[in-house]
Amino acid sequence: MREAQGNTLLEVKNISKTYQSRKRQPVYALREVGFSLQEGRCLGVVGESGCGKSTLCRVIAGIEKPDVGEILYQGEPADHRKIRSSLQMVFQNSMDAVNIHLKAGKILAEPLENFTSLNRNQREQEVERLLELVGLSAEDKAKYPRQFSGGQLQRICIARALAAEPKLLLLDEPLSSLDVSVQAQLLNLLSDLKKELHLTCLLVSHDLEAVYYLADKLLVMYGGAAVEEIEDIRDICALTHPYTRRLLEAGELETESGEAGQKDEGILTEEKREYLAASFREGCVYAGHCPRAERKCFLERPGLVEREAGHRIACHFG
Amino acid sequence: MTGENLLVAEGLSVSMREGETWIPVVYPGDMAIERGGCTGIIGESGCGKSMLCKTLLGLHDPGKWQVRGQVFFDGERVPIEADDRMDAFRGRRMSMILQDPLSAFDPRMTIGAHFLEGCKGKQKALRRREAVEWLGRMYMPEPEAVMKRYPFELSGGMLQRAMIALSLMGEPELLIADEPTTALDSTVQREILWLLARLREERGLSLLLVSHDLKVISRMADWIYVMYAGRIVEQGPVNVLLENPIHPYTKGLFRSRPAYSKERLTVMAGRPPRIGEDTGGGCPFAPRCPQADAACGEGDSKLERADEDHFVRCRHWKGKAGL
Ligand SMILES: Nc1ncnc2c1ncn2[C@@H]1O[C@H](COP(=O)(O)OP(=O)(O)O)[C@@H](O)[C@H]1O
Ligand SMILES: Nc1ncnc2c1ncn2[C@@H]1O[C@H](COP(=O)(O)OP(=O)(O)O)[C@@H](O)[C@H]1O
Ligand code: SF4
Ligand SMILES: [Mg+2]
Ligand SMILES: [Mg+2]
Repeated sequence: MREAQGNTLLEVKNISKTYQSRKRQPVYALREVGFSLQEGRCLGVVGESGCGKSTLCRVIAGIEKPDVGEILYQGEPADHRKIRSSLQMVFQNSMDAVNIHLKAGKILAEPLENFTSLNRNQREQEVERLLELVGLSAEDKAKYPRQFSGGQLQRICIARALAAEPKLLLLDEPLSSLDVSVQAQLLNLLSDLKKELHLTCLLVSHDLEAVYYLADKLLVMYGGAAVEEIEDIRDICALTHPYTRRLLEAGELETESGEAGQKDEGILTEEKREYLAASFREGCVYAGHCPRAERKCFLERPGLVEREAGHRIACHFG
Repeated sequence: MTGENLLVAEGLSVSMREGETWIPVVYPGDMAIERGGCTGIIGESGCGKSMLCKTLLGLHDPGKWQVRGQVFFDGERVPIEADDRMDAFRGRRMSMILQDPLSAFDPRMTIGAHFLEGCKGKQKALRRREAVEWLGRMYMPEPEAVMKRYPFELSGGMLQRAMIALSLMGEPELLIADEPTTALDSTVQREILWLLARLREERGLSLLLVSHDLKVISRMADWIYVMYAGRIVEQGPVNVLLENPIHPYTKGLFRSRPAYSKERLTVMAGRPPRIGEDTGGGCPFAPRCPQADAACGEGDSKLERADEDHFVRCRHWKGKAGL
């Protein structure tokens, strides 16, 4: 196992965030989540939908305030008014994230007006440079969002995020609604940009293989909690948390009857899983579904502890 | 698998009306679905996969779409051109489930009401019992309670299970699943795929599975059709295609997928042509194809037999000198 090196850019400390459900029940979207991210590295965050990934992004971006916990940026408590330009976000559904009545050129010029001191002419040039940087052409600035494909529009959103010259890029499922071939194009683009611009990234996805390609380190979430973390994603096979194992195995599908019993259980507990994810419990967030769970798991929440250098896990038996 | 065909399509094509002319969307092609098997269709979005599926069920409005060719189900001709005569097939012999289960349900109606649609009086109680049974077969937790829920109250995985139950109520022999797991999480996706595989094993259900995800298709299907720009460009048994893909598009598609590696991905640049876009009469893949030469621009290739049951639509399928 390898340990983290380099200057820490972002430190997330013990963040919790609770929402109210429609039935006025508390929803524990984040439970004491913490990690640190070094400059120039990419953290992959994986977990099923509803486990709190987007909430985590929104809290880091300052769009929402955590109930408790702290975010340190370059070692100091993050003041989001000051770091607005150095921290940019790209969302899953690019069509919702842009104003469809504006031409691409205008969409890209806006952050330049807000965050840079470029004059009109310089902005024009910068828009063209940005379009080319993300693999589009300068002429595309005259087009409206509807005239782009999903993949092209996602490139516009990436270009817009880059216009502010951010240090930290938060990517919330940026590839999920795109074709495999377009995903590959964007994965290569993001990998190039990360190197060229020395970007620090947080990549949220439920596609473990895409995350493996781009990310340096990995955080696995379940039910609002970080259940496992690894500094070097290339050690992915060494992950041992029962939920991470399930996630890794979901990549394979055997239909032999031998495994069927186990899967029946997986299927039957989906509703329970949702119910459990939404309610507060003393025990482990995964206990309701864990094949290894014992009495202790339902009574005591395991903390994320270092098992060996560069590998942290929240499991009583992991 | 039986080696016997349940559904056969011959020269099936779809065109879209634009003013006075018809623009081809799916080019004439043949297709066979084996009884008890799982046939897969793969290709980028917009290449005509859903269009082809809808045609098999005669779901096209004749005012806007022109369908040519024939479909035979169990040897019997399917009247895909006549909406009023399709009732004998739709839901009874073949059914379809869609990518977005939420859009398939009426948000104002409970799940149960969807199962009872068109039922009167005494029929209702019987149908309700059947519905609960079917939901149970789909491993739905607490099926009785689910019947009283509204669509928005269920998760994506549960809704997809409800939709499968709904489409299997009439005990069809063929289930057409159009991207059934694309909108779901990987662990839930696995559960739904496992369920489909199980229905196939236990009930002999035949499947036509559409996906743009090679991983899904390669796990489930035993026969693959690869579509590009409305054309079938390669077809064959799954192991043959996976081990020995011939069409440059199939190869490109297979290579695009990251597989727990940090090695740079080989990408296919560009995008498929849009409907009605002028491809100059040549191979529609030529602008993106690493093997293309001048000849490729001079006329579309035909589907040729490369091996016993392996077909390819590429003039250079035998390879080119120096490649
Ligand atoms: N504004 C909100 N109001 C109420 N509940 C919310 C809100 N935003 C998120 N949640 C809930 O918080 C949990 C985490 O959501 P989210 O962060 O979006 O998860 P993910 O991005 O991993 O799918 C979910 O149970 C979700 O329903
Ligand atoms: N209702 C429609 N009106 C006009 N064009 C359509 C309509 N539905 C689909 N198309 C076009 O037909 C082509 C094939 O679509 P489709 O069969 O849905 O592709 P796929 O399922 O492979 O993604 C696409 O280019 C799409 O834009
Ligand atoms: S703590 Fe217990 S329930 Fe939680 S993952 Fe470990 S074994 Fe499973
Ligand atoms: Mg999210
Ligand atoms: Mg489709």
